[in-house]
Amino acid sequence: MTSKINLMASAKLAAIAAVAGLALALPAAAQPNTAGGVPIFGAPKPGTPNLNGKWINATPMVALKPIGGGAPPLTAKGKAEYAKNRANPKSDPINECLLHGQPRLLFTKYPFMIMQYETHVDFVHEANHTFQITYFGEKLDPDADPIWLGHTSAKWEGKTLVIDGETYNDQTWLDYTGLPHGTQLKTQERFTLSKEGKSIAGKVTITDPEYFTKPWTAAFTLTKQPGGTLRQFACMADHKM
Amino acid sequence: MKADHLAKLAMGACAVALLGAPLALAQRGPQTDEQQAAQAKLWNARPAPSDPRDFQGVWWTRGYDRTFRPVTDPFMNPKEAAKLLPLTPLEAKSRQHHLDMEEAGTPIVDASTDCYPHGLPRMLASPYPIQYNYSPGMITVLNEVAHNIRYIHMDGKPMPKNEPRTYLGYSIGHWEGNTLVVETDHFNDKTQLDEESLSHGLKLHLHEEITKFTNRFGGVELRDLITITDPDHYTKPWTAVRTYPWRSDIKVSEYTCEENNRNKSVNGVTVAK
Repeated sequence: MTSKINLMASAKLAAIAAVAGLALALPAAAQPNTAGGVPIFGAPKPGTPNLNGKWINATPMVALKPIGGGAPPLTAKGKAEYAKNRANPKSDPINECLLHGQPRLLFTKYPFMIMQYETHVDFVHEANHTFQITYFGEKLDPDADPIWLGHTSAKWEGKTLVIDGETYNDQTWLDYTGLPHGTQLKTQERFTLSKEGKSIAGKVTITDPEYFTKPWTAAFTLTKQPGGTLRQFACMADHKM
Repeated sequence: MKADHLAKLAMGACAVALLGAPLALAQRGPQTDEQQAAQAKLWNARPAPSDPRDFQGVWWTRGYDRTFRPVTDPFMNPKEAAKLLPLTPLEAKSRQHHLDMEEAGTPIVDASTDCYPHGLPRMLASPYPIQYNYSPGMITVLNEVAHNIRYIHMDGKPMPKNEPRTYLGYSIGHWEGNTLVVETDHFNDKTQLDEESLSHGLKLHLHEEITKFTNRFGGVELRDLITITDPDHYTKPWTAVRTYPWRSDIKVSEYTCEENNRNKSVNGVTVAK
């Protein structure tokens, strides 16, 4: 390297640092426990289930259906839009690598990580390298700009993690068959860890008076995956779905 | 990596650790001490984790410098420091071509123009917030820009040999004291090294040393010393730096590059519309 790139001799540095009273090194701390080389700091809120880990939908869902059977209770507008989407499956927004939206992100064939902290819970998805950060007790603003994954807030109801979402844009499909929604969509996702910790019983309630005559709920199951690593995913390059 | 380079790098880490504050000052332009103290107070209203190895939370680099340049002392502006870049003839020609095309109003596209992952180290210069998450065996960096996600494998396994080449490469990390040392390999050659004009090839290797420190205004920052090695493009390894102040006052938001991308490429160039 040239002399300019070379950094200064340590004696000169020490002198400059002493005069300027510059950056302070952080105090040494007791070395924390580690897991797989990563120090363990923070944890889920005491007394709450620990959903941390790698999960995948046990049966990737093509069509989202209400618990108990039957079809989603579409309004006339919903039926018309659904027919239009079904007739043109190539118009699926994810074909353009746009974000899946919710709750569809939970139904892909790709795994995701749940990273749960005291103040927030993050879902990190392999699919289209998408993540959603949700804070506990976040106050949702009904006038927020509509976005792809919605604005979300988390809470605990007993042992169940509940994530409420709203202010979605109307550019995503609810499932792979083209089930539509509008900007009035509200979702409530519920995650209940099984006793042995190997699966999560999930439910999602869809409310959108413009597209559905009443709120309805679908169920899904997540299964724990070994390991804690996701693979890099570049939708535009090699993952056309 | 050769031993002499490691030795230089270790010295570099020491030097910049001591000089971090004036470097940062020079990069972000004039601000009074009072302004910086007020800023530090706002940004650290909820303090950063106290343990020097706990990076979890939100960080946001100051300003926007779209170039990578060798670290110098005293600080040199990017135009001056560009003269110190150890360019091979191939890279010198490539760089000039990039500059000429931009001057002509038709900048050459790189991966991020078309919403592919930004690549490294280019992503490290992004003027959007990032969030560090820790989980067993992995450090995950969530980048607001184009929802990029970086995985740093911490499980102690060596760099895999047959890993496919990707935009962000494959990163393995370990701790040396309180510094997170990250090696990244297996890059594809579809990204630029920086946004302005620097390129890289398949031989790119990154060595990063990421350290948390407290500046003289009481603000906490991460410093990433980035050593770039690519013998096809640079005659020797060189080291750039980025710092990221702790930002308890913000959250990482949604960013969708793919929506209505006004900069999408046409015949390999882009004209912002």
